[in-house]
Amino acid sequence: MNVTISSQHNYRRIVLAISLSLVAIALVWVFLPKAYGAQLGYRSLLLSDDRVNVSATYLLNFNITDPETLGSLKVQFCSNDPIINDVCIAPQGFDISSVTLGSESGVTDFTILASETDSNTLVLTRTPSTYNGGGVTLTFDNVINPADPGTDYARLLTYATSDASGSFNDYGGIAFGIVNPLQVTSTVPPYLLFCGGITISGFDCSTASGDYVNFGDINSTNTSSAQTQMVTATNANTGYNMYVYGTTLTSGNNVINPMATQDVSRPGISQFGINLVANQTPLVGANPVGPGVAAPTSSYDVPNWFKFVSNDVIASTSQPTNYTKLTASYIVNIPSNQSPGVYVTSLTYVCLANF
Amino acid sequence: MHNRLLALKRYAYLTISLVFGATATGLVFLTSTANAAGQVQNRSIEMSSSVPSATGVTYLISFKAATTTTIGGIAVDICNDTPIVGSTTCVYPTGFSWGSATPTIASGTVDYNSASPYSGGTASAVWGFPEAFVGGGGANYQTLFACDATAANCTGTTSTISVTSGQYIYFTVTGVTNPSTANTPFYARIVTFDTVADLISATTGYLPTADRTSTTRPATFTGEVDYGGVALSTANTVSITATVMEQLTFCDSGPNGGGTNPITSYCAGTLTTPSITIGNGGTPSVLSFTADYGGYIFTQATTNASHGIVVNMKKTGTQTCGGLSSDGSTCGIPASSGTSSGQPTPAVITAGTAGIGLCVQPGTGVTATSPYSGTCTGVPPAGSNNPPSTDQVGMNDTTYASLTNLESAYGSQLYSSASTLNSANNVLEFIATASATTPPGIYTASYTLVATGTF
Repeated sequence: MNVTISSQHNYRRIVLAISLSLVAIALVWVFLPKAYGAQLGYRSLLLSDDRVNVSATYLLNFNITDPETLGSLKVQFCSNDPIINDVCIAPQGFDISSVTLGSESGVTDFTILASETDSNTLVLTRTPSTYNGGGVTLTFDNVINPADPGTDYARLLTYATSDASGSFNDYGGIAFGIVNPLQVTSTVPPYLLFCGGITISGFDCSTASGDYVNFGDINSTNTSSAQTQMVTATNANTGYNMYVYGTTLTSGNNVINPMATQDVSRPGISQFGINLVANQTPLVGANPVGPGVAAPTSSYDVPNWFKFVSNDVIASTSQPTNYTKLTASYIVNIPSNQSPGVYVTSLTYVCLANF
Repeated sequence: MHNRLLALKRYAYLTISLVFGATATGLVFLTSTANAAGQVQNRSIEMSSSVPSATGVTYLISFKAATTTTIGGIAVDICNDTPIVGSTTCVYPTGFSWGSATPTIASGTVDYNSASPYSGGTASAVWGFPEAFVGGGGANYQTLFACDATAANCTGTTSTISVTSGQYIYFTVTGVTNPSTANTPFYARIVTFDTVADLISATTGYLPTADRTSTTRPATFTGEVDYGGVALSTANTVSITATVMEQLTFCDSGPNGGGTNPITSYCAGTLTTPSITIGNGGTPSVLSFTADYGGYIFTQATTNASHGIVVNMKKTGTQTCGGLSSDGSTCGIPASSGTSSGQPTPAVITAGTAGIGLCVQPGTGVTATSPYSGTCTGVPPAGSNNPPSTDQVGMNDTTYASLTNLESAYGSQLYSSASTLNSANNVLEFIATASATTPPGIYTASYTLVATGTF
């Protein structure tokens, strides 16, 4: 009895082993290499724009290695893989059905076979004839990109038939990516660069130094003069106006007359005035320098002519200006009967940008 | 009887296993016989190929002597029905052949070594002039006689070897032709004899003259020392196919919270929107005309494209220029490059001269394309978002003979590789500055990065 049971057990094992063998054989058969043609070489797909959902131009390149009868080309777009004969899942949102064929090289007589073209499959047709091999470049316009970022695939198949029927000649896969666009943002604030000092190196406001001008002893026979510097720049759309505020030189109740109207230096006459240009009489000041377009106003831009009226606009520009260095010249003349004393004033320059 | 049945069941099962495993090595097979001699152990016949009808196959015949004695010859008989020594039939496996009437024993040597048939023997005996016979009614040579003789067909002066029980005896026969039926077991019967004369005896030897062209075998042999059976099998060639599909994994990201690259291998990690604000880092972060500031975008490419990849950058905004625009039309902060012989080149951005440029800090296997190939750090200095003022950047906004620009159909080439890439991280370092007259406003540009593999 035991022997019989053992025999039945072995029989089942035999059946099982045979079954497994058949399965193994079947699997081997399934995965045997298919009789594919050659793989297309140098395959690439260049997108003019790889943002999701946009219309783009696709530049397809590939190389047919050996001569073959070429009647059609199928380009199939899939989201799952580029493997020929595998199930193709169309990329979400992708649409090539309205494509137009742009430039062609290598093979130049392809046309779109509309009857075989759908949203993710494009078939190009030509009169079947021998193509001796070589590079092929095709441009597809008006392709709607997939809706999702990530990697998608194209499968290429060449056929001897004109409608992509029958077995294919050559094949190849391409992977291409859809990525998020790159955004660069930068904020440019309103600028007004304005600084002053006795001296400023170049246009570097950090080097401005000094804010005290000492004319020394003044007399009725010579003009006393001095100068200061200012650097300005602005990106204000309509430029800026520079004002001067303050009083003339005073010493208690004694004053040196401000030059209410533009005039030249006249020693022996009570005068206090400024301008923003280079002067010869007296030898003081400098013309504006720099790449900017700011300039002294007409009352303060004539060499050797000076004026001082508080609240006057002494320099301006009607547009954005790059660096401009302005040099303010100061002259003092007194009559012989000018009361002695220490004459002092404080001037304030205001630069008002108009954004 | 029951034991015989069990033995047959086991035999069948082992055979199936052999086919399933597609092995070319004969498996040890055990039968019980009434033979008085000892059964050789660890016996096997290793085939160099199990492909049906394969020719030029080498059979390595190996077994351990069961008896301490002298051996003058060995019979190896190939049968299709059973490996049982003493069975009175031996069906010829269609297509099998030892190769010729005088088959080739490799190097003419039979080695006996106590270690293993694969460790190399130190003691050996030259066994030449073997003989094979057409048996079982087949058309080829079915039965092999291995012997130590000085003339063909185990004749002339013969000698013996002394073996100890447990000692390996092994030899190879070359030029064998496999049976023609695929995935089918066949068997070898091995019998050792005390002398050559007993082996080849026309009446009491392994294969009497009357049986040399038939399926008949004697039940017993004179001078038999040891015996054993081996199962072998032919098998179809196993074809293994693995498809590696075209791969291109490309991604971009802004920095993580710590200002560094968040992309891990194969575009994993917590990627951020590839959007950067270039400025002084204040609130708001603004651009200056007295300094240049930078921003960083990280990209990673992995591909098995054998001819490498090309990554282009293309302007996608409405402006008609490649730089930053505040009005969607003109570029108040234009694309900036140096020039050399009419070609854009990397150059240092000078603060106060409005412009934006880009430098690629390439990863392994990647080459940046001019003007993006300047010297740059590719990472923010510690505690600052202001790249070194010596970093060189560029941005190709003009068409040159060999370079397409940001506004062309497919953009401007940033970098490329000559072959495959494995998670190559490539940092895009942007540097921008304004001029004193750059109108205030929010300047933007949108670019798309297009990676193209050539497979």
